[in-house]
Amino acid sequence: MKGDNMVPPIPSRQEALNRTRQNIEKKTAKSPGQLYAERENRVRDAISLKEPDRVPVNIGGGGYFAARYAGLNAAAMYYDVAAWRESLKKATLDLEPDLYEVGGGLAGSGLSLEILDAQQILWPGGNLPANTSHQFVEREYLREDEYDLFISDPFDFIVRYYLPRVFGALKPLSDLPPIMPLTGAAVFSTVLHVFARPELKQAGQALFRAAQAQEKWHQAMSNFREEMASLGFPPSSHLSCGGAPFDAVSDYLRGMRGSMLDMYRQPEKLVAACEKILEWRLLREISAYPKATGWRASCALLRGADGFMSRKQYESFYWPGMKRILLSLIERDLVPVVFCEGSCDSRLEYFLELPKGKFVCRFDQTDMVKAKAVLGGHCCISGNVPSSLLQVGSPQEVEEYCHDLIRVAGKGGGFIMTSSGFIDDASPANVKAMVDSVKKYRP
Amino acid sequence: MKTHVPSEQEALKRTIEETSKTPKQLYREREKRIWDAIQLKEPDRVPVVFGGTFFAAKYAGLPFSSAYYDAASWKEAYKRTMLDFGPDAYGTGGGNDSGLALETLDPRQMLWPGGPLHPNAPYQFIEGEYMKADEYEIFLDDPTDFILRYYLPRAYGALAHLSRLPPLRERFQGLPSLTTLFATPEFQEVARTLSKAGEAQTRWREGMGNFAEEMAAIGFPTIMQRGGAGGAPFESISSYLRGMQGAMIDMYQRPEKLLAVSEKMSRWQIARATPADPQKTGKQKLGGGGGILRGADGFMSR
Repeated sequence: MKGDNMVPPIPSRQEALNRTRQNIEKKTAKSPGQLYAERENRVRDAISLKEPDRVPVNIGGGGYFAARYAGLNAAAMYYDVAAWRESLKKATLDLEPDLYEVGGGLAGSGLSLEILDAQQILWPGGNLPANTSHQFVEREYLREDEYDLFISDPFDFIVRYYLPRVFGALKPLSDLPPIMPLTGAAVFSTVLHVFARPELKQAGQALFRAAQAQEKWHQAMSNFREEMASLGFPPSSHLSCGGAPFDAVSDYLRGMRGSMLDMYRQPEKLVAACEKILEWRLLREISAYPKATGWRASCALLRGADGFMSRKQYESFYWPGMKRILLSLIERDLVPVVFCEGSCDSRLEYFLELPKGKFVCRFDQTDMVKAKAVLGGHCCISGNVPSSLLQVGSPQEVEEYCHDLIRVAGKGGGFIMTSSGFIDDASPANVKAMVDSVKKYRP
Repeated sequence: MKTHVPSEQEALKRTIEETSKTPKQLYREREKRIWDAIQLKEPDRVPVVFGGTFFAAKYAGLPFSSAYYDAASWKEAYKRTMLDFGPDAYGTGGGNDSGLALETLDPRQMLWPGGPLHPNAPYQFIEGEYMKADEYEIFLDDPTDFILRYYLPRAYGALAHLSRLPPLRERFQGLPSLTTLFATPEFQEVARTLSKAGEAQTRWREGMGNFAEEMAAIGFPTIMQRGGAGGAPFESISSYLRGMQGAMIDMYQRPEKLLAVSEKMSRWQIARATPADPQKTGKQKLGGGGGILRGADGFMSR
């Protein structure tokens, strides 16, 4: 009679969001809007080398961590994106950092990768067990004698050589004759009948289905940044951009071995390819990137780290392209956040060539004392709580490490606390210790 | 009085009777006659080559459109004409393009009989500015990009959506952002169109069979063997890309760009030139060149 058998209605997404906002306000005595402004300003102060009220903290590379935090597998990033999205939110809300990081560099629809038979990646739930982090598969996707083609007719290289190598389902694209001479009636005599081949039709269908799956994945992640902002959390970066052209060649095209042999055997072609990539990137930035003041653009310094090449090689092949990319971002009022993976002790001085207070260097194994000595007062540095410590250390050990960092790197401002890299297997207690350390200790 | 055009069988039989030679012998004779002329040796008589295309249709009482819509009849008409007139070789055999495939692609650069033209109107090429004056750099930087995203969408109504593709050249760092483009109904439409046109063209090619082989079997060599390096780049630029007016203005206003594109094209053509006979080196065949159109008198100074 009183309606005992009535099931309470499931709250809509907006209602749930409102409730969460109310809870935040209750807990902190501040509105999410105020908290957002506080956190964002704290971060901007650190970047522009003013001393913030305390060291800001970014959880750092939370994709798989968030999934596991919420009791999901790593595969959720690829196959259950709605749940993954919620886990990112939950981890951030629970741990209350200043910045959150989605940290899904190669995240996308697992189904899409399956349909395309992706060769460049191994991913959980696909060709890896469901709870294993993904793997990038480096190979020579550009052969040593194909530089000329890449430089003189790049679209042709991508369509007829690269895509067939990187996606098994697109192998039939290598059957297409060259596209450049398709003027006049040449489409008919050389190309058209090729499209009737069943393999090519299948490739087209695969592309379409993969695109639909990927579109669905994107939709499920749409407005995530806005949602997190409404809950009071700014993103560690607003967009990601390519880093050094050398890394593009070394990671995606020639592989590490190939690109390093090229430095000796065909340096002019390597340099020419890097210059072409730089040119395209700079052109794209003009149309692609919003001119929004202070938006953070993440990129990585990979083969530029210590040990991969000599100083001379760094100055010939690596740094000039990287520097131009970073300068062009800064010129557009964007803030590059350069993830210096590995150790970059021997590369620190080069960052002094960039404008003061306009970028962030995030460090992994670099000596933070040295980094502060060289870059303190020039740019904001970030890092470097080891992922290993966050996984197997104790909260006490994590807190001690962070305390040292705050004292040394946080002195005078210009420091953002974060992990050294992705924190796939970190224990929540340790991550909490890292986040709490900045609230407990001052420089 | 209507001329009786013999069937292929009748014509072949008559040729053998009149000449007392097999088609194979006639083929060798005719080929030698032409090679002698080329090599500046005096042949037994002046060789004569049949230019081709629609005359055969007229002679056999077929509409011109059969060269696009009725492969079997077209081939037969061509062979009968050749056998009846008995020249030494033929040029273009025509019959390259399926009318149905053309209709599917909606070409803007050509009109053909049986399509937008009357069945007995000859083929028309429609010149236009398919490359704008300020697009030379795009071609130079990335020719495939230009053809795929600028030229083909302009030249074929059914491929208009290709212009919405972004340049792929830099998208080798992750397809996901790109694949969303391919999820649109417009791209599905382009894929379907290409597939449909491809099927029509495949059926046409099957209908035409190996025309050169069939002609050789009745004794006729061609002087337009496929392969080689193709024609002068200026022809392509002037005919298909910039148009005559555009290319000629370019000779004055941006000669370096015109030359750069020509240079790029000819390097490409030479690098990809195919031999006369892939099986045997040193075996010569007639053909492989392009036409000289704008190179004729009056188009430009020495």
